[in-house]
Amino acid sequence: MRVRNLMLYVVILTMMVFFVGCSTASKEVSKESASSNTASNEPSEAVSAYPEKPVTVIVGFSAGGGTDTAARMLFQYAEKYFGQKFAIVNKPGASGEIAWTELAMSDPDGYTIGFINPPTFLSHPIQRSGCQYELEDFSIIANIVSDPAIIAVNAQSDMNSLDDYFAAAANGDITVGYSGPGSSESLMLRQLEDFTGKSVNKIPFDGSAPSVVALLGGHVDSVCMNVSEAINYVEEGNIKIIGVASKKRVSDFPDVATFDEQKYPIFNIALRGVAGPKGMDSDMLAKIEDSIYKASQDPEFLKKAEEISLPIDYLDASDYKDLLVEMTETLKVEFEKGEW
Amino acid sequence: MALDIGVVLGNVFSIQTILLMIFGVIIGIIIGALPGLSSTMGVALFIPVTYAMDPGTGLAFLSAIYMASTYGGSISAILICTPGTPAAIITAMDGYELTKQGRSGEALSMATIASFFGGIISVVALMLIAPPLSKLVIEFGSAEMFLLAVLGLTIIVSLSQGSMVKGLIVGLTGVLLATVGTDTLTGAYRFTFDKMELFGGMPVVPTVIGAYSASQVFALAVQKRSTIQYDSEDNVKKTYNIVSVKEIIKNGFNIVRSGIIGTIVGIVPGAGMSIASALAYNTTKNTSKKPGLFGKGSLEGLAASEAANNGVVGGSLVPLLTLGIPGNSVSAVFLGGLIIHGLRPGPSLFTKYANISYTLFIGLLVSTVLMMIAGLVGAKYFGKIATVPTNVIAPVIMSLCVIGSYAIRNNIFDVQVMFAFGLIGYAMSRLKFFSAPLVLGLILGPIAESEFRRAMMISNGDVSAILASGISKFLFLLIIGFLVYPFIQEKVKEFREKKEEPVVEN
Repeated sequence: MRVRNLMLYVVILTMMVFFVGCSTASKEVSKESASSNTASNEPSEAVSAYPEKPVTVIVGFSAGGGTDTAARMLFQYAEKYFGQKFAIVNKPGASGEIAWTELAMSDPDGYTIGFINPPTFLSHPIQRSGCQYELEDFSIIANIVSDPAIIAVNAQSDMNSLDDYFAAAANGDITVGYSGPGSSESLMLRQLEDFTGKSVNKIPFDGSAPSVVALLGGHVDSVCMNVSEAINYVEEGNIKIIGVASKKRVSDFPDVATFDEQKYPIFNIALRGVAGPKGMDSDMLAKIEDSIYKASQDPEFLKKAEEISLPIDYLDASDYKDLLVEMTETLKVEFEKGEW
Repeated sequence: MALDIGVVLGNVFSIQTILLMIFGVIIGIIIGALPGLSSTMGVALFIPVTYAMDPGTGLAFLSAIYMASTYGGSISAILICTPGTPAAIITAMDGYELTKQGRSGEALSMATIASFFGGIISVVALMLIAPPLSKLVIEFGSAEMFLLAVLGLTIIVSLSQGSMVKGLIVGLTGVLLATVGTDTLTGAYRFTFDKMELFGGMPVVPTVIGAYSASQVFALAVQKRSTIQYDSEDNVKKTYNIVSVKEIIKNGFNIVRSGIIGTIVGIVPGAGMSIASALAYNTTKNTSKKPGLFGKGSLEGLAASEAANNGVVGGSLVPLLTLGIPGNSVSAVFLGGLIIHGLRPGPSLFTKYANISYTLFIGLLVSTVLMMIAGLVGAKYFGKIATVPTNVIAPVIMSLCVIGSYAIRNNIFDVQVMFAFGLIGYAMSRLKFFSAPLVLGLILGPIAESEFRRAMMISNGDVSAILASGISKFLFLLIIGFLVYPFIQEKVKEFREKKEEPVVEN
């Protein structure tokens, strides 16, 4: 008898945890929407007092990863100029889509913003009809990182340029390790294939580290990844970059020619920036934008960023928005040609 | 700046560093013991704290957390059958059985000693032979990784006590569950039902917490015992016994071998702690004089699993420090810690920055010692959990399950998964199915699948490429050996028994 009661007790307790969890969540929402209603009635007061409490920053990748490190470092410095704390909340999963969907649907009261990673951020709604957000659902705030894609080979390889690379691709199969279908590297490789009319054997890996292992061990002939991921391996003399997909040469590798300089007019740059939900007050947006701008000029932040190979590239809200709209158009055109 | 051992020792044995390492060890053990708080999360959370420290001290602190959290997983695995980290699932099998028999003190102290030696072996390997070992790292291509994962899966044979069919059913169900999620090779969505939470696959940690811990809570709720251990005066007294020196010496070879297995598996990027402890457990079972005891409370099996998963710690730092390649998610975070302190992984760590690196190594050795002291002192007190009344401990475990599964992604879906697997796990245990093969299938299935397909893509569909290298052939022989040996062992036993029977009659 006692045993049965106990079982019941445990089940009820568990249920309670669920119900309590759910009900507080809904209470919070209703409270927040109530406060946003009052805010819209008297905007000046709420806005002038802003920020009154810490601002949540949703990050769509796990704690300790590249995106998370960049976000934590940026907001640690932005806090100084913002006058309130930024609380990083990691909501990883579905290549950031979970976090961005939540960001799009969150209350535009100025206390929830998020970190975005274009072009992945932009390609979800184009590639997947089930995606529940689009670029228009966000208030774009600022860009902070630009990390161009590269193609690299083993340091001992005799290939030195894209011409060498695609000449070899014609002779037989060149294998290239990359981060898998649907990624922006995947699109770039397809664009290169379309442009040259030659194909490479694309081998997907879970991230850049395993593909570099495969490159060093001779299991693949080349890798496609971003500049920041390559710096360390290049400095140790393990790998060699044969081209970078940026508009101008990057400061870390002034000797490496861009794809464009090598007459391959293809660009691929991973961006990291900040956005809030649509409908945020413009003064609030300006305050956040300003704190990020000041952080991006902070010499201490820039020194830290250089140490962790974070290529800082500040863009203000309007420039960033224009760039994202332009990128979206390009992605849509590419999607017309087929999935990547 | 060459290595100056005086400076290094001065760094490590300063009051500040020692206090930080003690703090790191305690934090690590707590993080490890709580389900859902992983080593990765622990190290990630404390990286910002190290900003202001000097690099050697900061890294020694982070590595103390890494080492201790790996060990901490065994405490909850042994006492409440809740592997604090997936690395401790093998530990839970024998550890929890021992606890039920009132031998939690022995189990905890054995786990501590084994973890200590596993950790020490791997750190010594890291200090002395890291650069040559790093060559092994890049030899492992997709074909070798596939075989290593299959080798890990063969342990299902050893895990299925009594019924091989049941073991295979559960193991393959795990592999099947692992097919859920975005296919990393083609980008196709498999069994995701348009649920974003499933795009990344079946969440492993909530599944483990559910199948082990939540199901255990239900089992505790319906059982008649008043505490976790079997009720008896004798058991209450025994709770506080720790393992005898004789028992440790008897397991000396086992622990060293398991530590080496752990170190080697740790060096291979992407292999992970579950493969290490599974392999060590399997090897030990196959060479044990009492294989029948495995899964029913074997100190040998427990020691093998724990020595191996702590062996991974030092091993995983080999590719990280020599090549900048993180072998698992913890060392990926650790890489961030290195870089933030302006250190670039590579040969220069062993030359130009030798003082910092050796501060890290010596610090790691010292924190392993501190971990052992904390563990042995704590074993007496932790063991009390086994004597806490069930109606107190069961709700506490359940709350930890909920918090633990929520904390990983801040997502309520994971809590639902945990709850579902709690019910499934409970049903399985009532029907005498074991949950360990399920978790192994879930963890190793995707590695085996994607590495096999990747190997095929590289070789353009030529299956013989799988066995092309020497390492592949060696791994393949091991797989055959692991599959066949238990049957031979059984036949030999039957044969001997038959031979002995007439002697008895005479």
